[in-house]
Amino acid sequence: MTDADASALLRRLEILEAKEEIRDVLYRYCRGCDRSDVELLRSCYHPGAKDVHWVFVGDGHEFAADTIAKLGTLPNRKHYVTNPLIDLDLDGDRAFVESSYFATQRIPLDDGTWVDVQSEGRYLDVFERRGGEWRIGHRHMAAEKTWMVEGERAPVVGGAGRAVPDERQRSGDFPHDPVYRGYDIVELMPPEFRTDDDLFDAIRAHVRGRRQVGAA
Amino acid sequence: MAATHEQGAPVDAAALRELLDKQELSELVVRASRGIDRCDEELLLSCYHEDAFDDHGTFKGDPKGFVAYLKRRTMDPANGPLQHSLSNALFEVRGDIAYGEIYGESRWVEPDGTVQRGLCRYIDRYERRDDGVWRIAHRRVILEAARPGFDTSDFVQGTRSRSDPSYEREWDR
Repeated sequence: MTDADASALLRRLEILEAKEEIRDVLYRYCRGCDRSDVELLRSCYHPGAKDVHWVFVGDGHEFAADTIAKLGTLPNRKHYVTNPLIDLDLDGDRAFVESSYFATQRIPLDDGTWVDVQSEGRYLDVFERRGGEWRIGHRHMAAEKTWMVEGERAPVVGGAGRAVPDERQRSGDFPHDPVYRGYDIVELMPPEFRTDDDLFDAIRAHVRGRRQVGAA
Repeated sequence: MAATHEQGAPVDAAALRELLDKQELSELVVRASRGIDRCDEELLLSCYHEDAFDDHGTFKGDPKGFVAYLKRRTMDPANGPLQHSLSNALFEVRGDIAYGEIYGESRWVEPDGTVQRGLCRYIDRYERRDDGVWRIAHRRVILEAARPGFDTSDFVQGTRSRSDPSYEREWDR
């Protein structure tokens, strides 16, 4: 390999490394939202970054605190970010980044049911590399659609009669969620357990019952 | 000869090139989705070789014909909005030929205001020709789930076996 080939390859690698760092920020943002982890969410933005968001327009760090305060107690949030397209200006230490989001916020109702408010659209970001670190310098959310999915709690399944066999298997929020154990996750071992039940019998019976009621 | 970095340890240049090629391919398939979602005809066409073939079930033909077809439906800005969300992407690269299997979910708003969704797989062949840019040479769409009542019989059918189209390879052509 000639020096010219090697330096061209090195350049392509630097581009790839920058893009991977930017994609990591996009995913950390989702984890920050979904685990109610304000510090992690703040760390996605440079100081002074602005976020033009759904019901919040202002400072990114303030957005992090505000959105966790308002949405962080909902029983289920889920952010998917896909389709990242990164227009990288490596020498200018900035990038224009488009990604798609699909988010679910679960709103519990008094009767034990809920509605999932789902929305999707795109994040249009100006990323900047400051002090060697890529973060959001400006975020503009292009909202596309919002809709509702009405839900009903699935019947309890499994021989132990519990929705999850053990509390240690449950998803949660910062700092209790299992993700914060890191490598120590191996120590978060429930007692060994298996059920011989047909896992979906309870579901089938439940749906049959509801349809009979509906038909009557 | 292997390139070396500052400490003098060998670097596998071929493995690095494969990594970079896969990166370019993953951007290519996302650009094609953006082309449809934004009704950007030029962007979508730039993702295909001119002589490419696209089998989208109810349309089978070249990229220009495909765009003309889409402009009457999905790419008519009066319809939708629509968003493609791509997830699992597996690429296999050999020189200037590559194959890819991409999982996609699309969600769109029907005229009555309800949101519908579909699940698909793209089975792709990509080629890098004289201008050094990876483009789609052959694409087939397999519909894993369509909106209720949508006839999928014109589409290539997937199987849950090794006879699935995602296993097909032609490296010599």
